[in-house]
Amino acid sequence: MSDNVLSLNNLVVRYGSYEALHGVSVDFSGGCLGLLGANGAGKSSMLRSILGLIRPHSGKVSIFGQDVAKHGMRLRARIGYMPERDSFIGSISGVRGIAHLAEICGIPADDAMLRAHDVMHFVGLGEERYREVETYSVGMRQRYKLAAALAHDPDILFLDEPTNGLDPKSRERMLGLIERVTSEHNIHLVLASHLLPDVERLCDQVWVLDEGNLKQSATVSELTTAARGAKRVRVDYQQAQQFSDCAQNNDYIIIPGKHVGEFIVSRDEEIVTSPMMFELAEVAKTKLLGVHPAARSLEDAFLEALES
Amino acid sequence: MAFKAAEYQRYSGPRSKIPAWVPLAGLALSRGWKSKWVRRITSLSLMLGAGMMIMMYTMNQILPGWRDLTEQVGAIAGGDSGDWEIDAKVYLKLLKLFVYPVLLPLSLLFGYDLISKDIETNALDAYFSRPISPLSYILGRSVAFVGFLMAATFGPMMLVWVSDWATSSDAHFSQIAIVPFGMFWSLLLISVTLSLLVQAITTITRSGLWTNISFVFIFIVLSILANIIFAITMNPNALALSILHNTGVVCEYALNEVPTKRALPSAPANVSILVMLTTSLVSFLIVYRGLKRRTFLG
Repeated sequence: MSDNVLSLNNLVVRYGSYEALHGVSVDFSGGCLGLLGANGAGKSSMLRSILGLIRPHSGKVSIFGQDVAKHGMRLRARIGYMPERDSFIGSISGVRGIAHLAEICGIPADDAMLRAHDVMHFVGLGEERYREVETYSVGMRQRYKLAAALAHDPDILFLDEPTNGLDPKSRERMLGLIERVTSEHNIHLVLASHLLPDVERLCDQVWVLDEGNLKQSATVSELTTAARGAKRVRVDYQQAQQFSDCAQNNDYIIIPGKHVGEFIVSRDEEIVTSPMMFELAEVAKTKLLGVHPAARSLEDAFLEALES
Repeated sequence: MAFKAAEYQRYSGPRSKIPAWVPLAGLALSRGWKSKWVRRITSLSLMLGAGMMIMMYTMNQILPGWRDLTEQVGAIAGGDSGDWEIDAKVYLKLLKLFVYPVLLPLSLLFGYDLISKDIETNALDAYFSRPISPLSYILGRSVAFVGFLMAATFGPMMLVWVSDWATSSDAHFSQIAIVPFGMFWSLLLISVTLSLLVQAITTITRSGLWTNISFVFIFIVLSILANIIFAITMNPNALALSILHNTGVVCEYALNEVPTKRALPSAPANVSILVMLTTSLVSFLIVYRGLKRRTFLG
């Protein structure tokens, strides 16, 4: 039996003639995984096929080493899913709906009601738990969906755009809740989002999807730390051109940074060190204001993955 | 477990072995009962049964020979004394009284938004990402639906029957022995057919309002169509197209009582039953297919 929490093997998802996922094969060993991709990249299709809400055209999905197609029922009791769109049971109170969903997952009725109260308090809906979900605001509905996903105590959470439509304060609150659940209770997380700061904050691994293809699978630190041994260098802006010309003459690859006088300096098949930069500044007769490892933001890495 | 937990806690208690359709049935019952008109009609139906039971008991206490007396009064009034007896014929009238004004509206009021509401609020995503199959979903909904319809109709009718039996002589039992079983299977068949039909319509229309309109439209159109085809072909089998007609035929067949005075012939009982069973099967397939398209596991 595989140790991977989640494995996709040549997963193809089709809607009629349109292919949403083109044979994705990848493994997730546990922790917090971010599914990155622009709108329509195939994130939701991937989640829904993993959960069995849509039928893959071909390929295999395994969760905790068990084939989803064969052991779907058993596995789904261990999965918490928070869909992107609103999803609730109408005409009943929030707490009754959550208790009902927990009961379906095998929690005895009394315990299910207790847990429903607990998770409603946990997500900050304690005062609103007897209201019908139809009367909730967008932010409350997002928190309600998280509570519903947690009520039966899953081992893995699939969250589809959990911060969609939230104001900054609510978003911060939602991310805090997810962070607490996953870090303190050893619950694996698969987070589908196009909001890169959310993924960067919560996840330690990412899968980058683009037009149904898996473009990259890496840890967040691999993507954001020192790119190919490069350095981010800052020089006096009046001497920027002088430094750039000199670097190019000395076989350095130089890319302008976000600010004037800032460059990403690298060299083919060679790690660029700080003394090399001091030497280059001396040769170029420029004043060096700073030398740092050329860390990229997740956004840079994401865009680079898409361009590649 | 603290009642107001500020922190999330893992669940360490036992897992229940109760099948997933049981909580679904419970929720369907409580949702159906929330309808004001469902409560009103059910209460009236139960009150009718209870009222008749009290009336029989009181009559028996005040005037123990009231049955013989009514028969004699009936004979003096010019009718056949048998017309004034409480037998299967009376129960057939009672059965139709519970089927047409109680069971038919209840089936619509109880079930018109059971599935359409779940589609509207995307509750199906919540259900089918949990360990429940489309079959369990239909089973849970249908058990609640049929159970409720039976409780609202068969329940009060049994109150009447038990009171009748308990307050009469032993010889009277032979006249009404067929009634409980006949009522049970006819009401069960009608309830199953109607519950699946309503669920099928709501799966297709995805709207409570359109379910109501379509249900009434199907009833009216099929009744008119059945009569037109019968008028042209003079074939009584054509009347089995009408759901209303079939319910009547099933009730009569179940109690083995065919009214002698009829303006029109009726469809053969076996054809009516076959049509109702086919309607149930087709309705089930429509609901099942509609749900299956939303999930592939199970």
